[in-house]
Amino acid sequence: MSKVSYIQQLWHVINEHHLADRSQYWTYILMMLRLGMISEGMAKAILFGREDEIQDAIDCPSALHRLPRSADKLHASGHPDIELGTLVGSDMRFGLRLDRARHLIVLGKTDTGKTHLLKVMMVRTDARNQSAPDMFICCIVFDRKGGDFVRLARRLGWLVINFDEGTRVALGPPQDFPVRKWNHMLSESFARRAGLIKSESCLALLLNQLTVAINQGRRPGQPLLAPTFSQCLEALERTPASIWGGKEPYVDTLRHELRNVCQAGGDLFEAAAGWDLEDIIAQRRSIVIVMNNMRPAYLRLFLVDLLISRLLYGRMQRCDRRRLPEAFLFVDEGDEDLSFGSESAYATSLSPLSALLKQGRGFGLAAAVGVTHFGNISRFVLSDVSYQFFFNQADPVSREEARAALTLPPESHITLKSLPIGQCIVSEASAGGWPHGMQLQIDPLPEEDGDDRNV
Amino acid sequence: MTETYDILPFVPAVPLSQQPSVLAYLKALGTQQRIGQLQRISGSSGLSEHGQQLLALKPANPYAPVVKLWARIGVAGVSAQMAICNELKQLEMAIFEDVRIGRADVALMGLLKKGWQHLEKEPPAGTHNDTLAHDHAKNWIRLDLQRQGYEASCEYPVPGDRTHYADVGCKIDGQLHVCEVVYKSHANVILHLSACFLESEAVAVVTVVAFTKIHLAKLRKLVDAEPSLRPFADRIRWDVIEGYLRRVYPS
Repeated sequence: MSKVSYIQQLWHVINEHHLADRSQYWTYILMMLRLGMISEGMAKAILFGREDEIQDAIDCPSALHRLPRSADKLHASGHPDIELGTLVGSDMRFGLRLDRARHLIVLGKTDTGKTHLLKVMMVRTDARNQSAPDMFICCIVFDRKGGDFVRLARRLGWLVINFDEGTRVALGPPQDFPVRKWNHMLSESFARRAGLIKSESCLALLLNQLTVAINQGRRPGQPLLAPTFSQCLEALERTPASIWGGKEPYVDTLRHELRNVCQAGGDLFEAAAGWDLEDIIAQRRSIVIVMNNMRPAYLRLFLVDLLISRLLYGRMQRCDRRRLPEAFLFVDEGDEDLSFGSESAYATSLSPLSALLKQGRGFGLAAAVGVTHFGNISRFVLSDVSYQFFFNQADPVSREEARAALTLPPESHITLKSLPIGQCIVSEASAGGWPHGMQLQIDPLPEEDGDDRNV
Repeated sequence: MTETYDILPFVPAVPLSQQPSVLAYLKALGTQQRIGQLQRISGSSGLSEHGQQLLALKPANPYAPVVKLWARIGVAGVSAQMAICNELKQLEMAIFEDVRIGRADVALMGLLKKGWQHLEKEPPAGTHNDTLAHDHAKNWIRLDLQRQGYEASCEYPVPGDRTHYADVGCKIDGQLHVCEVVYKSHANVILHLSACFLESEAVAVVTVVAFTKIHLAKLRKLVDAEPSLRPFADRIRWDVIEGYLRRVYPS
């Protein structure tokens, strides 16, 4: 029986486990093997000296394509304006280009580094804003868990608002937006989120009539006052139900839900006019909007709908197109916002967040969404994101979906399952980008910017 | 600690109870809604705009085929026309009838009591016992004769043993010419001709007018078989209503 030579073993190990794709070192070894420049002794030394690395490759195989040979190849369409980390197995840096607004999605189970990546993006964006104030990008963060981004925001001097502590939001339209059209959009959003399909037209009629009533005697130039939910409830209680809808049960259901919102939401919507995200952007500030533990639960979704609608649809109405990004909207834990169920609530149109992903780029608005379960996400969402970051996936369905999205071979689910914390596979879908998935080590943050764990 | 956003302070909402003008507006909304409800209950409204227009045109055009009225209103679609007709029928304001004239059906319309009441007008006298088709036809003949310069009138009294009322009568060259319109029945034609020729000496010519040529032929056969009327064969004329209609309402 012939003994396999060390050179043959070295050949086998490198090819079988794609070691040349993992690092430049193995690329050189392979080249030397081809040129016949490695002796038996050298092959034995390499095999034993790199035993741990070889064992890692066996335990955690990588089905990823090899990395680009050089940074110029990686950044063929332009160097990143914001760096996020280093490609594993090389010293090449990876980041986001900001020559136009680009959406990104971050997918992975809890504690794999999704939130950390978003924080790195915020810190780097803030640093860029300091160095290039003419190209300021406003960061708007919807913090639904509470605390994830607040400490960082305070250190960076961002605005932090918490609806539990007195901040109010008005239901009025964005600038130059037709009021009746806005009231119908608002009614659609509220009805969809609250499950009040039949009462949508009642609410629209109520808002339209109250807008007229409240603004009687308004002089040109004076701001339009918008009705509030408590005023809607009061109007329903003071007038016969037949004014507002065809059937009394629809009006009763609406009255019940408005009562619910007014009691649980407190003063949240008790503003006839107020601030807008456009005001924040215009003042070149970044903001964290804390919206944890909102009740009823759909109120958080409605609030996100309201704020995004005013921003996006206001710009669409004014045809206010922008090429360069003006705002990043961060939605962490966005499973609920982008799920099939959430999308199906909007049967004949897109939810505002989906519309932002679909159409926001042309208006200078980019979304950065963090999601846990890939399998639950509406598919069309992925078609509009330029950067996909896949952290360790929790469940087989999500892993399989991620594998398909990265066009990896079937056995690569182990690659996705074995990703350590703080590493992800990034895929860039924009034109000119490297077409293959790459393993990326996200940069650490200074301790003061992290939370309890600094990944 | 978070801060309240106050760079652009919000305008606090004021409860409706503290806005009398808003309460007055809502009260007016409620009143308007109650008025509308009462109107629907009393039935004094609910007629569509086109229905109103069709109804309003009828008194001035009492014998015009409905197609002429549709053209005046500007309703061309068959389904829209049918909807308006159904609406007027359901409200018991008008009746409609399709009558075979020549080779085509012609739609006719007549106002009912509620229709006249809605228009706040009195219905013309003397038509209550007549069918829609018969009433229209005799008036077409009358209008055609008047168009030719004759003083024609409907329900023309024919003097004789007992006064018989011909459908249309007029004097032509000093002689009494009458027309009898036969819509569907057969037997009445003998009675009418007998009344004109056997019970009276005043009638010079009787024109029997039918709606179709087929019906006219049947009537002629019937009359030819009646022995008592054979001596008057040269004083009986036969015609179809289509010609009168075309002359009075040319297309």
